[in-house]
Amino acid sequence: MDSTDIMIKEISYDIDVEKIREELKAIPDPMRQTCLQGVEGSSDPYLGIGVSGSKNAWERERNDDYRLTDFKFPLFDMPYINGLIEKLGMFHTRYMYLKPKTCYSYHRDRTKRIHIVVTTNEDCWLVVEEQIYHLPINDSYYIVDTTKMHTAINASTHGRIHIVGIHQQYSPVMQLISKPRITEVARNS
Amino acid sequence: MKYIEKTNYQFDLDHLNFEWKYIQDFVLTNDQWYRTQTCLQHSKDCVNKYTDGCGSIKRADGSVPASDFCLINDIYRGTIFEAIINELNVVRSRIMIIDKHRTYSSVHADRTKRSHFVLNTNPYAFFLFPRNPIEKSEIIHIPSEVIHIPADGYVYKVDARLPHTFVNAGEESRTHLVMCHG
Repeated sequence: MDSTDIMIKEISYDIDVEKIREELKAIPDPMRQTCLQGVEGSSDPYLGIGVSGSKNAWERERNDDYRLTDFKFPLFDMPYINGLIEKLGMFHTRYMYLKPKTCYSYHRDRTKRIHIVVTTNEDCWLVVEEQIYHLPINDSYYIVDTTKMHTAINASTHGRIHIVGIHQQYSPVMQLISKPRITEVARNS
Repeated sequence: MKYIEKTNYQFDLDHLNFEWKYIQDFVLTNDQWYRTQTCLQHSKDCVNKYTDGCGSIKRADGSVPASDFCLINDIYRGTIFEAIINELNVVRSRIMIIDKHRTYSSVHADRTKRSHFVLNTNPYAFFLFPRNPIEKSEIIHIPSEVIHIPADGYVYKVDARLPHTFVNAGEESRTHLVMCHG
């Protein structure tokens, strides 16, 4: 692997995973992917959840016309997590539960992602461009180049939980590629 | 080190899929499946000839070697599957389906080498062989071999004695005929 081709970057930070776990008890269904940030005027934590099943994730069917950047309002009373999201400048942040013995489709996103590891074990990996990575729990967060072909694998018998969000700094083309928002006029016409 | 090796054994993929489809749809009953596996061979002591050799055979009795599963199951008599088993001289043959977005559990090492014949697959169904033991505390990059076996009608020999797992990150299930070398 070329040194310029870094798939995952660890950023040391003072993350308190115990506090995160405690606050995540507020998630309504802990075995389901859930948005921690929503759009203005909506409290639906499932609005920003995609539909699995495409090599290019942005081509997946969406039920709304929002841009990913619109998902910036905290949905739950989680002071520590919401503070982290704000400090790290994340949006469209999701609680991602990966069931035992499952993986996601091999796909690419249009933006890099920040991963905060909440629950994991040595049989949980990310595969990025056929390279295998394990993200341990420590005080760090990780920037993952999810614009490359990748999947997450949980080959264990326990659930894996990551908090995953987007950061504009690591996704400079975000504004250009976001789905254009349909105005109310266009919607009504 | 060879993780997976293409052999010179070649069989008619369409013929195998035709016979398998018929057996799967019209012959096999629910009690002849163990999760998404079913056996083509059994041992003389089997209670259920179609499931006792599935999964980890340690679960029934750790002393049962794979070589005991050498007797062809009735529904495969006279099929191309029986011909392959005889030609390769293999034991404990199974059809193993991995549904989409599923994995085997954990990295493990089997007791024997395996031959795999791919009935159907997708480009994102692959073996994963970590080259070194995975340390719990270690970040992050795990040097590994990621190997996809194509459905090309050839038999591939897999050194399943090396630590490995299997991942299907594709959008369709994959079906392999897996045979043990006793």
